[in-house]
Amino acid sequence: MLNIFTVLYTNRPVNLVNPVFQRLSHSFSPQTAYQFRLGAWLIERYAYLAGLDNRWVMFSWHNRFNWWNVITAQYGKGPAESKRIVLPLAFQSPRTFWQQLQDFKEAKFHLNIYNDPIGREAYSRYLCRQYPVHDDQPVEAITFERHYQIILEPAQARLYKTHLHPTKASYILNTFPCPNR
Amino acid sequence: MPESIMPKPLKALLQSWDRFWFSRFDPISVSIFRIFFGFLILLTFLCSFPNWERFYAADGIISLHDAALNAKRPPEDLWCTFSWTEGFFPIKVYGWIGIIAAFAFMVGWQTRLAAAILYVLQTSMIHRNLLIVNGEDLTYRMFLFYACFSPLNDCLSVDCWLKQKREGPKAVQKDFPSIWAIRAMQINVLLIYVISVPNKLLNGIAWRNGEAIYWFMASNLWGRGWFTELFYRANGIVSKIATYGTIAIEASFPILVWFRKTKLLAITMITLLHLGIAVFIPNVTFFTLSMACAFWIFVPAASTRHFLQRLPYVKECHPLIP
Repeated sequence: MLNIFTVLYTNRPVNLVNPVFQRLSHSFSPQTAYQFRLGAWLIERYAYLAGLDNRWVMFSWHNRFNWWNVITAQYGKGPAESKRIVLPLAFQSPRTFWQQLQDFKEAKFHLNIYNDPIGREAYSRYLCRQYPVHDDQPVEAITFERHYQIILEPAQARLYKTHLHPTKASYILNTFPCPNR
Repeated sequence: MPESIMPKPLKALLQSWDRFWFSRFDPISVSIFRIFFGFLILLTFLCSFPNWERFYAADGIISLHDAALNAKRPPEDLWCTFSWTEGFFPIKVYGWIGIIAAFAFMVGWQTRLAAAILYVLQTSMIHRNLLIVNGEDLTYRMFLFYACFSPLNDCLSVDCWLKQKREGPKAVQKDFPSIWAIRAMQINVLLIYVISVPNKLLNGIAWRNGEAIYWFMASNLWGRGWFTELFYRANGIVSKIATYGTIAIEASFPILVWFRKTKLLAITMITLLHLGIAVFIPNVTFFTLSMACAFWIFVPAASTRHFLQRLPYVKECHPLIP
């Protein structure tokens, strides 16, 4: 019963429940309100430890555009010497069958760093360590480029006989200098 | 309140409650769940093993030596066993422990210990690097938590075979185990659909107008690019059938699975749905297959025995049917 209640509590519709709870807590004494907050924290803590803190909102929302990151490394300083290399990573370089099997976490990783500049910075520092040199040139910076392409609405797709807009766009998301450069 | 003075409805309610939560059950189906789920975890560990250092090592994606990344590290290193042994042995040792524990879990040797080890390992993996947490990490952790309390090794397991060798054939003919842990797992699985279906309908207009599957198939992240034109031609009829069919199967499963006449049909439909997701939607394969494995806990034992009746060992396992 504890687990069932925990799952239901974790998946409560917060937009409905939280305002009600906040209004109710104004009519309690501070001590009682504190006890409720402590109880809520204990439930959340138990959910976190038992692995029951997932919110089951799978596939509720859809992207209306395709997107992908292209991660490049800049080697060498100055316009004459510097070179931008596309790193041999998943989704941006040819992969063997075994590499594709191992890449099963990559899509979710990119999704997790989509809106996370600190996560991208962490990854860039890792890439600086993994690919420190190219043609005797040290790595200077890692750049994340975001590419995207609009997915057409079904009615438009029927009209144009394709589901993708012909134009692909891109922009530089972040450039992280490698440490100690 | 003594039973003798209890009102009849209350007595009936308590008896139903007892039957629902604490009756004895034939564990053959949950043993099949253990085998499939164990195999899936083993496969996941094998596929992620080459990337183990990248994901979890001290100098991996989330470096432990970089103070600037403190915001990315979970504060409670207590719950991550990797940090307890940092610097003592390489992180890949945990990968090997995971592979061995997953194999032991699959074959049913020291099953609860293997489940506990896998649970601790899975929790540590999640805590160590939140950036690569995927759906299967969360469902594995959830199922492993319940597995620590469940009688998954009573049948078709090395533990059962060893017990028979030690104590004789009658050792495995004793009482069936109690169902409470399996019930908790069953209800948790059903809650996933009870919660996600309304979320889909309330938050996703595409689920209401029948375009959801089209958006999946057209996406480079969630679709393989197979036959995308099928899902927008002919007024999107294929997408509508697939979308509303998905909603119907997911919404009906938590209800139909409790009735004898509809149970097997509901399990078959939801399993086929998840197998279809595994085929057509990349990047969620292990997650969706873990859900497909979990449906074995709903399959009636009599059906499983009928399905496996040619295997001699199945007949030796708990031959007394209550």
